[in-house]
Amino acid sequence: MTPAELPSIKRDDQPRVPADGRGVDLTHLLGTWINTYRATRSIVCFTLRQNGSGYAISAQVSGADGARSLDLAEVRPFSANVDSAKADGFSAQYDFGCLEMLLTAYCAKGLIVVSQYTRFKDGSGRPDYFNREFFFKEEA
Amino acid sequence: MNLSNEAVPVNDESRPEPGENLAERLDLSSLGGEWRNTNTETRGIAQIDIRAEDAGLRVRVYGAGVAGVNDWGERSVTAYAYRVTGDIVAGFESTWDFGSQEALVTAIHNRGVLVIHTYHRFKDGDGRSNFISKEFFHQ
Repeated sequence: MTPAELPSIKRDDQPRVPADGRGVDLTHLLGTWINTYRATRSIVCFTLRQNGSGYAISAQVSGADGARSLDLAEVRPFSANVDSAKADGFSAQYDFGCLEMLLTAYCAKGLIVVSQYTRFKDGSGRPDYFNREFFFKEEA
Repeated sequence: MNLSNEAVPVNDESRPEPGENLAERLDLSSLGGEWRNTNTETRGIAQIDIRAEDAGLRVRVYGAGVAGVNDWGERSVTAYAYRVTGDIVAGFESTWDFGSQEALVTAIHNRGVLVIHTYHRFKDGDGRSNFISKEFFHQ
């Protein structure tokens, strides 16, 4: 299909050049990222890694007994525009039974800005809540 | 429910701190109304209309099309507080599914500006890159 023939929901989803289908590459973001806020009550750090032909995230969160690890979750990379194959962010989803947590993330001046959307499913009366934190890359 | 006995404590901030109480309800009113893109030449989302109802938020998105706007339709979205004991809405997220692609729209309200990040995922194998669109809206 030529760009003009692609289904569109808004103009910026139309490539300026024919799409080559390479997929979005997250390689430059692989590694460990550390929360700039050391007293966080949420994600302390996370690691992005290759996982088969895709990518995955492993995160450590703050707990009463120190940091604990969350299970590995699939990462979906996103570029900055429809013509780019270089990741500018990602999303990931956790389901802990009692709650779900959606992570959305984007790059900004060497940081990864991670938004957490926490949705409760346990009838506890807690409101779903949002959190945004900033992560810098651990030096190799 | 005794939150200290939660079977799967995910992190500290998902529970109120000692002495804190949950709010009785989340006030959604600050998001209600028409939100227009600060960039009048946008190729992304032109406008977002939000209705704050007792049952929650209803959101309609208008994409900037070649010949006018594309109405994505209105749907219920998940509203989020700023924190687990919060009583003011911070924003919302929801996914619009168009068949060939889906758009996860995330919105956070900050000092009169609605910051929208849209995560586009193409499902039809036409080779386009999944991408993020970041835009700002005012009333």
